[in-house]
Order: sequence, then structure tokens, then C-alpha cells
Amino acid sequence: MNLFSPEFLVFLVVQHVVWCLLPGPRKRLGILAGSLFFLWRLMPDPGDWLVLGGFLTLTWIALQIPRRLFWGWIGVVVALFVYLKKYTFLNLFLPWEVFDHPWAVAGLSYMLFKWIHVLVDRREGSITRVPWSDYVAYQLTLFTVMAGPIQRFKDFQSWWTDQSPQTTEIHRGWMRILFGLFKMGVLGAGAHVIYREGLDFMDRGHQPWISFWKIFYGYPAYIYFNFSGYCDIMIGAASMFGLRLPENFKRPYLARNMNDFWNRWHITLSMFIRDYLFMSTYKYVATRSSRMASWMSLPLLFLSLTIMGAWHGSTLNYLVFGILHGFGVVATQVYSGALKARLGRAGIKKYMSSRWIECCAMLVTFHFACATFLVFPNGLRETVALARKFLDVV
Amino acid sequence: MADVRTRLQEIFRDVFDDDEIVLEDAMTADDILAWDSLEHINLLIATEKEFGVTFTTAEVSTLKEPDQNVGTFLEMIQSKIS
Repeated sequence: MNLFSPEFLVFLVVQHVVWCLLPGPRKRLGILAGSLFFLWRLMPDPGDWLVLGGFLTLTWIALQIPRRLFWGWIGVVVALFVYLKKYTFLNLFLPWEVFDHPWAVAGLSYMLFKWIHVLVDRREGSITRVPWSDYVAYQLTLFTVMAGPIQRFKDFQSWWTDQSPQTTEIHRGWMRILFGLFKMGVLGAGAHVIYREGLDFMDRGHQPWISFWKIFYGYPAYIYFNFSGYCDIMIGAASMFGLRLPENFKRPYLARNMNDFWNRWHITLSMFIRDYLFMSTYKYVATRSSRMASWMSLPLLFLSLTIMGAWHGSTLNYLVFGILHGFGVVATQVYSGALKARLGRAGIKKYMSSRWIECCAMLVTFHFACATFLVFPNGLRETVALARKFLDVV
Repeated sequence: MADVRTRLQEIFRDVFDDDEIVLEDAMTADDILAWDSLEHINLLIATEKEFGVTFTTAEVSTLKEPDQNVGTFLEMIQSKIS
């Protein structure tokens, strides 16, 4: 279902009216039915639904016995995920026929991360109960199923088990939805036109420099307005039902370095990567050897960002995107460390409070982020071909 | 609680290499220049060792949220050792 369509707005109004009319626990059925309808419009093939059912059942069983075979469950589910997503760079090790299947499950990448979060928290005792209905609703709720934000299970569960019309924010919700639609439909669409125009002109060899800048700034603007607009719509829609979703964006292009960028861009994803991948592995190493931890921190950071990049999609360009961001974050750490050693505590305070330095840092970070987005929308071959064309014309 | 605060203050001074740190409840990561994600974990590991407690992933994550501060961290340690 296209969010920028009358169908979605009518669906949302009907869903909200039905939800308000339904008594107490029946509200859950209303949300679940609406979510299944929403997902069915995205994924009408019965085969995909069978695979989704199998994935949810398998992952739910794992949650019931989280301490047994913890790494075994992680291995099996990640392997299943990689198989279903058809990661193309695995062609280097396996024949393509292995991945030749017709299934495409919507929102699977987000489901994997949400499952890992629940599994780890179940194992550590932070989550005590995961009933089937709560788990299915958590994974499939229409507000987060497509592309997040990645909400924590306990926050979702406390709303799911006690849905009350008293906590709804109808006016603010609609304002947020309209704002999101404006971002997606006007600003995002406008940026996409500029980006496409840049690609077309570059293809025909017209105005190479102007085309380059259109591509360079156009795509980052498009992806920001499109994705943050989508999040605004979903956060606004959820608030009409009393569900508070976490924010996903905080003016990312004003970040002063790449660490800061990931504290502002797709925040719920970077928090997940920080807590469940980087912190877990770093803590594992640091509790065993503090000396080893000091030199392992940078490779672990790099690895975390690389995995985060590869998670975005099954083609090689996403892996390269992750590697570039891994490089950016590691470079930030190294630079910060060198600055601290050189300037000392007082010098660092002065450095951090300088407006000029802040502006320069923001400009450099913004352009680095834009450069990494060059590989995001197209396969590596297309990106290299485009770069060659640009160099030929210039 | 006073003893916990003193011991925690020593950990802060040691981890962030700053003998001038004086812990206050309202203090957050923004108040200590070196308090980034990496030092946050080092701080938690040192705290786990000192007090003989363990922080779960959910707790580690919670402590980095905007409404958390040294006061909530102290309360968490207190609840674990009592």
C-alpha cells in the first residue's frame, strides 16, 4: 500500500474508527486485522505468507528456550535470513541456483533485528514472557512492519496489553502525518526529480559538473525526506492509537562527525547495532582482557558498521556503503583520540566550543555522508559505469 | 548510598582519567567530555568488577537514554547490591 495514496488515508481513518469503537481487549484484534490487511496489500502472494508464518513460528519457538542453543538459534535464523534475502555476494562461495527461490517477505530485515533483541533480552532475563500473540503483533504491527522504527519489545508490549483511547493524540498525530506526507510527496519527490535529471544528463554527457552535483546532493536529500517522512507518518499514525514510537531522525546532516551522524540518522537502527552488536562483542572482549579491548575496539566498530551496511540490502553496494561508514566512524575515533592527546582537556573544551571548527566539521561530515550515498541506490557496476562516464566527459 | 557514590566516583575518575570529577545526580554523558559509547562500556565493566554486579544489554542501553543520569545509575547499582 502506497503511503502517499487516498487508499492509505482511508484505511487509516477506518482503522482508527474501528479501533475506537471496539471494546477493551478487542482493540488488539482490530490492530492485528488492520496490520494483516496492510501487509497483504504489500505482499499478496500466499507463498510469501507461508514463509512468513514459518519464520515467525521458528523464531518464536527459539524465544521460549532462549538459553538453550542460543548461538545455534542465531546461526539458523541468520542463515535463513541470508537465504531468503538472496545476498548476491554469496555467489562467490555458492552457486546462484541455491538462492533461486520466488519468496520475498516484506519487512524481514526489521523482523530479524527485533527477534535478536527479544532473544538476547529473554536470555538475560530482561523480558520474562513472550506470548505468541504479543510476538506476532510486535513483528507485524502496521506502524513498524515496513521499515521501522525499531521499537523495543517491552515498550510495545506495555501498549499492546493496555490500549486506551485516553492516551491517543489525534490532532498531533494528523499534523505529523501531514508533515510526513509533505516531506515524502513534495520535498522527497522534488529531490528525486533533481537526482533523476542528474542521472539522465550524465548519461547523455550533458553538463557533467552540474549533473554530478545534482546526483551528489539530490539522492541524499531524497532519501532523507523520503525515509524521515515515512517515519513521521508512522509515528503520527501510531500516536493516534496511543502507541509512542521512538524517533528515528534528528537533523542528521548537521552532524559534526560520523559518530554524531549515526546518533542522528536512522537512530533506532544505530542504537540496535550499538547495543546488540558492538557493545556485546566489545564487552565480551573487555571483560576477558582490557589490553586486548583497547586495540580491538576499532576493528569491532568497523565490523559493526559494515554489517549494518550489508543489512540494508542483498547487493554488494550496501556492503561497500557499510565499509565506507565503518571507515568514517573509525577515522572519527582515531582523530578524536589524537586531538585529546595533543590538546589536553582544556584544549579540547576550547576546540569543541569553537563555532568555526563546528561549521567546518559539519561541512566535511555532510559531504562525506553524501559521498557514501553515491553507492547506495545503484549496484556497484552501475555506479562505476556512471563514474567512468563522468570522468570521460570531464 | 554515600559509600556507593564514593566508590563510583573513584571509578569515574579512573575510567575518564580525570581526578577533578565530582559526581552529582544530575550529571549526564554531556557533562564529561570523554564519555562516549566506548568509555560507557568501560565504565560499566569497571562498575561490574567493583560492585560484583552484572548489567544486562537492556540496562546498558537504558543508561544511554536522554533521561538517564548519574543519579539513576547510582539507584541501579544500589538496587543490584541490596
